[in-house]
Amino acid sequence: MSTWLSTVTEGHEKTFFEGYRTRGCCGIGTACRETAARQNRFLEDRKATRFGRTRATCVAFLILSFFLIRPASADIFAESPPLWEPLLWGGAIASEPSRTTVDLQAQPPQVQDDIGDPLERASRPSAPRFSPPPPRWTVPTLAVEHEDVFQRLPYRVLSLRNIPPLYTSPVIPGEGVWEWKDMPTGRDGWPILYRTTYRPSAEYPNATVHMLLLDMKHLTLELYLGSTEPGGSESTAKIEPDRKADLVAITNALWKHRHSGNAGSIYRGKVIRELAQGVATLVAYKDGSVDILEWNNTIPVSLVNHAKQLRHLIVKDGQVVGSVVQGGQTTDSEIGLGYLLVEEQPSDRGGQWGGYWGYWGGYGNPGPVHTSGAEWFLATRSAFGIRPDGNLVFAVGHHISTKDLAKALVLAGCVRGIHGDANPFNVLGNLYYVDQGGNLYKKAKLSPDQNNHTLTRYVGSSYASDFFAFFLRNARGGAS
Amino acid sequence: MGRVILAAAVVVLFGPGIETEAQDGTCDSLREQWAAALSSLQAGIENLRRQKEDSVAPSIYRELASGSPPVSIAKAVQSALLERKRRVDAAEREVRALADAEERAFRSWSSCHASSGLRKAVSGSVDPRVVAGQRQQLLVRLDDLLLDEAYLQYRGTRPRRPQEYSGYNP
Repeated sequence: MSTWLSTVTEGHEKTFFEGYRTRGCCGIGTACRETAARQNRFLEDRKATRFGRTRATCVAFLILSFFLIRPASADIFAESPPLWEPLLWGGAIASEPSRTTVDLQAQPPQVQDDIGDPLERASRPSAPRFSPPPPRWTVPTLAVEHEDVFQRLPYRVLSLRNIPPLYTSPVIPGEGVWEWKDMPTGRDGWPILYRTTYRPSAEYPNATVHMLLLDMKHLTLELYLGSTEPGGSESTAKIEPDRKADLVAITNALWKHRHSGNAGSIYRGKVIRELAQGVATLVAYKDGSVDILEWNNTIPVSLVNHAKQLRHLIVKDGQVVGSVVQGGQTTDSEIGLGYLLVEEQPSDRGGQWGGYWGYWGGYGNPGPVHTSGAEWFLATRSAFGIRPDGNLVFAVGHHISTKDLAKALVLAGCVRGIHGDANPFNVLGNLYYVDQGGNLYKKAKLSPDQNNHTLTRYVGSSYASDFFAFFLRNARGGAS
Repeated sequence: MGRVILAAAVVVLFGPGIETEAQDGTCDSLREQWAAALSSLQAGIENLRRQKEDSVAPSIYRELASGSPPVSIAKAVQSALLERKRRVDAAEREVRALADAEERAFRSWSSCHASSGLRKAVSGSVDPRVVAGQRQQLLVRLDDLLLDEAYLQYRGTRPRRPQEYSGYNP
């Protein structure tokens, strides 16, 4: 994969996208508007031009397009119509997207979940409906139409809108399709986690995002404080042995405290550092519900179980945040760590770090390089998004900008998003498989490019940085 | 003929003075209009400040108590924040309109005062430059209030330039 990535980066990417935009397929909202404006001007001119001249122009245009579109190497990136693009900028989806395919023979009968955003509801009328399964235990069954996922609804398969791939070649099997097979499940085998892979960037085809959707009806989020972080110790930095049986996933948290400016945090109801007004916040309340929001100082802290803050929202009101105001100037919204942002990619600049990082996994030698220059923002990043149905999406992105990662969250149905930790050493999504006897028998990585050593942390040993753990809820809705 | 000369002399001697007094009267009127606009703006700013500082806690607790079926805390908080956003947005729209009105009134008064500038000492009217400092303080306060709360954290920082991301060497 890395070979392909590097080829794309260094080779024909620019030529390809120049051709792409020439044909009127827009990469970003501004480019789209500009293209539309250019097309309008073109149409007006055409009315005022003699037919012969127009024909000559078209022929020249076609010849020019042929040379511009033609890739410069053997790799070909064919792209489907950007059905999803308008969603990012507040519009409606262009046509019916594909849907998750579920093998009914292998799994319990499913019900279309009416919980969700209007776009989801609008896009499902033709889908077959099934009777809900009989309840597995005595929990109150509430009206399905009620949108609050933290009511104790029975297990069900979420009806998730798949994301039409932007690139159809080279193919990534299952790109944009939400899958729950081979994922950790609830105690009775019902899905609680879904995953997909997606390439969201119109400018960087090798930017790949691996997303994990967590069904928060049946999961609870716990923050663990890293042993070297404020308020942390050996005991706050690892999973308690008696909770291993309910563990299904662990993700990185946000940046280290010392890199987070005035960001605050709350751990198990205790304020480690005051939360700051307006700062993007991932919060888990005491009833198990979670949210991502701009913090307001008048929200009662007594309702909060855990909270972590970092910078600004990267998704707000269902759209990518493209710019922020800094020191009175409107500027780009990219989030960086200055010289601390690194990315694993083949480079002769890996130098002294190559051997060390190569030993620990990733792409191999020479390992990560510190990002710099015009494309300083391309890095290994993570982010969290919240959907209108209250479910959380965790995203790991490689060689990606903040905005493209945010775009992936929007396409996953998120209305608000927050940047997570960055850099290959820190970014992780671990999946934990527990058997009927409560024994942990398997661990897996969300991203195949995630460093292998990240699987060895957290369970049985403490870790220096904060992390989030997701546990199965018990029948009463709380953490087991 | 003598009457004509007398009338002409009267016009020459007192004509501009009459005009100045009339103009000063207009300027005073414009100043009063600006003062009224400023007062409205101050009230609008105060209202916006109050809306921003009002606690959402009562609304959250009310939502949690009255929700049937019970709602999650996350949903109650979002509901309260949405309600607050509506109120703040309305107050912001109002205060922007008031600021525009104040700006127009101030310019009218300033230009009137400038055009009668040669006679201001005679008329004894207030100089707009005297109040400019106070007015500027108010507008700075307004700018702070209108700044998106998400970016308060960046008020004292400047944007980085790409060339500042210079690899490992900070």
